[in-house]
Amino acid sequence: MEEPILFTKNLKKYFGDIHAVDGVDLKVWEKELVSIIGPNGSGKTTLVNLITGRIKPDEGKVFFKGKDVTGLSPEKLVKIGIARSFQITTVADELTALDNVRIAVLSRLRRSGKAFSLIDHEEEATKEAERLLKAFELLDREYSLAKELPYGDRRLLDVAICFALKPKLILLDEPTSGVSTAEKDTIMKRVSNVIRDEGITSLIVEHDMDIVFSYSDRIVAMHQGKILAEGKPDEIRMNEEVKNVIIGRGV
Amino acid sequence: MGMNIKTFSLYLLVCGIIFAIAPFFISSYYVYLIALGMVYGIWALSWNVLFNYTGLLSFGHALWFALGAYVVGLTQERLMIMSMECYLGLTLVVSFILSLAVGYLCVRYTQIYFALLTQGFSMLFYAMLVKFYSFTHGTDGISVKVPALLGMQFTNVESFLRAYYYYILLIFLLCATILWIMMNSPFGKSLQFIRDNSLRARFIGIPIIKYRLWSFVIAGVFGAISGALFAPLNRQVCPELTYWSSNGNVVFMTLLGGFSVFAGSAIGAIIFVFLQNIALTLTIYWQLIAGIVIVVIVYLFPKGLTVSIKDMVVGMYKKVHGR
Amino acid sequence: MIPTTLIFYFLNGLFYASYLFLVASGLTIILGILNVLNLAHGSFYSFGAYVAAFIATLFLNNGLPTPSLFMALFMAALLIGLMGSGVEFSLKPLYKRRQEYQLLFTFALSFIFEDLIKLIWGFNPWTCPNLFAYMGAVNILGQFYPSYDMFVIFIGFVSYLFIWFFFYHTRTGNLARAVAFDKEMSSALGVNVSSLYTKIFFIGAFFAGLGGALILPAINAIPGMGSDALGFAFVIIVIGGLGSVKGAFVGSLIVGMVRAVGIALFPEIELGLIFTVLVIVLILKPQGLFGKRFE
Repeated sequence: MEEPILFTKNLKKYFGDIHAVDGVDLKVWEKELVSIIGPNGSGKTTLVNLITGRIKPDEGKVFFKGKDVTGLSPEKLVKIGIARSFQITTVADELTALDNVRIAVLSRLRRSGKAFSLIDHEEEATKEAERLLKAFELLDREYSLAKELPYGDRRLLDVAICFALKPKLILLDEPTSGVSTAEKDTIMKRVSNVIRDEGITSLIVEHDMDIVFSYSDRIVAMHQGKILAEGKPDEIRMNEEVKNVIIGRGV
Repeated sequence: MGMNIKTFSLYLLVCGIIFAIAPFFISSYYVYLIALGMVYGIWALSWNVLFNYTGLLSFGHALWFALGAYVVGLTQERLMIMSMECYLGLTLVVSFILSLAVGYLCVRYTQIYFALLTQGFSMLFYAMLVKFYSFTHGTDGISVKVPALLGMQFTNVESFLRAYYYYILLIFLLCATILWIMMNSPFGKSLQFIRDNSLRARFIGIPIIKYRLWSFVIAGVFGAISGALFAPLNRQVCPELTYWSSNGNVVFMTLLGGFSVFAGSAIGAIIFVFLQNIALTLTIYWQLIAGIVIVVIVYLFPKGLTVSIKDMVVGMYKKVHGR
Repeated sequence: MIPTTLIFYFLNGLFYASYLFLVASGLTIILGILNVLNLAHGSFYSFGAYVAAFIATLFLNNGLPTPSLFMALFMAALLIGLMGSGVEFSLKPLYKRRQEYQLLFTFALSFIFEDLIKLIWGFNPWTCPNLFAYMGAVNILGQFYPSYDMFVIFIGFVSYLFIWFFFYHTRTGNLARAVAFDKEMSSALGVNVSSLYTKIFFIGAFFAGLGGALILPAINAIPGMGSDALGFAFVIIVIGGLGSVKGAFVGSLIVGMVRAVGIALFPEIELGLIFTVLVIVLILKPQGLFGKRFE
């Protein structure tokens, strides 16, 4: 079996007395779509924040493609190939959907500092941004300001910005949250299509169990800062502990 | 902002032509006012780089204006140099270095802290100008003689002003073009991304402190250029140029014209000059009028006059055409 | 003699600290609770001085005895408090907008108020030294120090105690701190945030007005005094920490002392010295001595 593309060793993070993340050994293999589930407060988002450099762990390490990336800043992790989306939609509201994605592409191409040429003349970046917008079915609204887009499309834009960075690993924090149940599947379908097409490894925090069971290659269940259980969807579905703690709560 | 280069070039051309032929139709007093308006226009455009495009409210931008003005005054007086191009070149160098240094200290902070820090530096400069009397003549200021433009000497003020108007016009159009390109470049758009969501900007790999610093430098350099242009026009430079109330003027201008549109601050600057002149002929209580105007704008026209008028016109058009 | 001079520097420092604290405390309270940086705060101070001059002159012209001028000072401060509430009313529509609009609005107000003073009371200074002369002087180590200045120092201390008492031992004060900490939650719990804001602005303006009124007998009322005082207040609240009254107190002492020494020894660089301190503090410890939370 090949090496996992991402693994954490005994990752811990405390907030005062609270053990938000309490010794997590997570493994993710290339091209997997792994869902992280668990009740509120189980440490999912903190785990994502630790892996993506938003906060530093108190103990433990994070390894990506064999290298120790513990505590590196988000800017550095982006360069290495890790990108994330946010639970609360985090986009540039006053810019167009096109610019939102285009700037991410330009950042990847190391061209974001170009000050004496017009952004509209950046052919490569514009083509790529439009390609991504098309994949997420946002192309017809490319000139709309991000704040004018309906909520579901803003979530998709948030995710699209991640993909513009051509990451090796993507972490999505509740990509379908706040969206109506009917729309959730539509959004997740578009997201997973792009994930599969581009062959990106992904780690998705998700509450909706239908989505989780439909789309995941593997599921990691967390509880009180630790990994409770992990395995294929069928295995998890049978797991009594998981059922009691997580699924039973019907979140 | 949402404009492409063809539209911008058209506006620029029309503007340039109107301003170029204006002196043939109006008195020299109004020519002087327009020239002053263009000088302030560059100053306001540079301030807006920080405010609208980077999201940083600077209450100390008068520092750069005064810096440029004093570079001219001191170079002329101490080094006996009379060439305007020399002044501009020197201003570019000095302001670049200084804005890099001051910016390095300031851009680590945002909002109130940034506003207070920039104001602190502005007042610090004021205190220095007043204190080092032997060098700067303190509150008396320095009187500036008519310089040479592109080698041409002028024997009297009138002939100088006629030529200087076009000199300023050209530099104004040049500055406006450069700033417009920069704000619509990948860098400019990245700045706006930082303004909207600095958290996300970090997570797409944009070095936010570094870019804010460059924005600060751009604002400082262009601000200083406007100050350098001001000195021969006003023929007097004094420490009040960097006093805290002067900082308010540039804020006022941009608000007047509308900060969300590129040309807004420049338009506001020109309106400001005329407003101030009209008000001063009516009453000495200019600050009172300015204050009331700002209050009215903040309440009724928060996007600034030009944008609000544009919105109203567009709104009326839509009503008429039933859309 | 050296020791005596030091004592006078010290007392002068306390004197400056006292009336500057009155201005700075109001500024920091309004900032801490409403999150509004009131750029018109200096006008409360200057209006305090001018209104006090007006009332004092009224009293004296009507033959009231000099001690009644104490009342004149406090009445002026109360009127400025009302002025503050008025300002808060005009700010209310702007709370939901970008913070910059509030800054611009109070900035515009400062312009209006400055010129109103010139319009109403002219360009020349107003003096009313009756109270100052009436109180005489105390003998300290063989030299005389004005009793009125001691009185100002006393009021400064008392005000700090009052503010502390108000925010920790009265219902309104506790509610104010709750709102400063979490406006949404407090509002959800039934606190009338809007009327609280008006009250807080009253208090902030009252103290600034009191500072101006107190200055009148000792110095004078002059155009431009508001912006000078505001400049010092900025430095004080930055040193002390935005939103911290304890910080404003300590900051006032520091600035007061620096000013006393500065004026005595290096009069020309006094302004520069103050702003250098501001810049240094902002760079080294931007949260000031006592942090950001209102306390």
